[in-house]
Amino acid sequence: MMLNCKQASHLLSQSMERKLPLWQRLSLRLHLMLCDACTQFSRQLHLLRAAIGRLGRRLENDETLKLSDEARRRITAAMASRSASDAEARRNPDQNLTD
Amino acid sequence: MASPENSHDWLTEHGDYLYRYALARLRDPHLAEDVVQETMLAAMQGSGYAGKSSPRTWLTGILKHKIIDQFRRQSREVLLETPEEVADEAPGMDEFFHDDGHWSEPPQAWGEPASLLQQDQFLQTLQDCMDRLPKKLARIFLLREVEETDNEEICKELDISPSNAWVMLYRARMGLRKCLEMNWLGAR
Repeated sequence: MMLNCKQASHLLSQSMERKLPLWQRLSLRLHLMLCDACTQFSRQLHLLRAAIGRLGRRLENDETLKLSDEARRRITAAMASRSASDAEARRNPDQNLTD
Repeated sequence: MASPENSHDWLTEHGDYLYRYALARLRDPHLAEDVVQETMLAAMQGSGYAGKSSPRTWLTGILKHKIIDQFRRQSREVLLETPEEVADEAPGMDEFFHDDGHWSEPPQAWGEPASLLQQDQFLQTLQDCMDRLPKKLARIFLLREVEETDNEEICKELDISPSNAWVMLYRARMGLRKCLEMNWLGAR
């Protein structure tokens, strides 16, 4: 079966997710031998993967990104309220059942 | 069980790290703050920190689950709105191809990968393009590419079929490469 570019591009994207069946790999290889546009597309897919990974790691290591003071206060308050209600539940186990 | 004092120390010491970790995956400051809060609350409960790994590793493990939960909540919402849209074989691709299946605008050579990956401008444009993707596509794409979740896991977590996942990832990649060609290659 001869693939057109639309089919080939969909298979190329799928090949980033799973090992394609043999016949699809062969059809793709044949298509890529004849098609410069899909060959470029295939390179772009691999480059996208590498670049997205790099962007993610860059964010993860960017120490200028911090929890805002406001978020920190909110989280601290939520934690305090949680431990207060936990303590309350420990003091009044029976009452807690009916709440 | 973790004492409350411990938990507050964890927020002080690891809060910024957890926030960045979440931000790299969710790309949304408010959602990232929310999952850090959920993580800290979860860390206060249950069997707690057992000391088998560093607190940071342990907290990051909790955070990962909270991020997946967040993806799942959001994706369910948008998927429910448009169930038929992702069901076709390759829907919504007509803007990229002629009727005979040829590219309407053939993909261009982008240049040497190693040097591109060093270019801040390329990475920044990619970030801008990610921000412009439809949210549900951006999320599944990040889950796949940054969290490196495999397809089986994605389908399980988001409750979609493998072919749905492939189509959504395909559409995300097509959208990104087109956006990059217009805004980065075109601007060079």
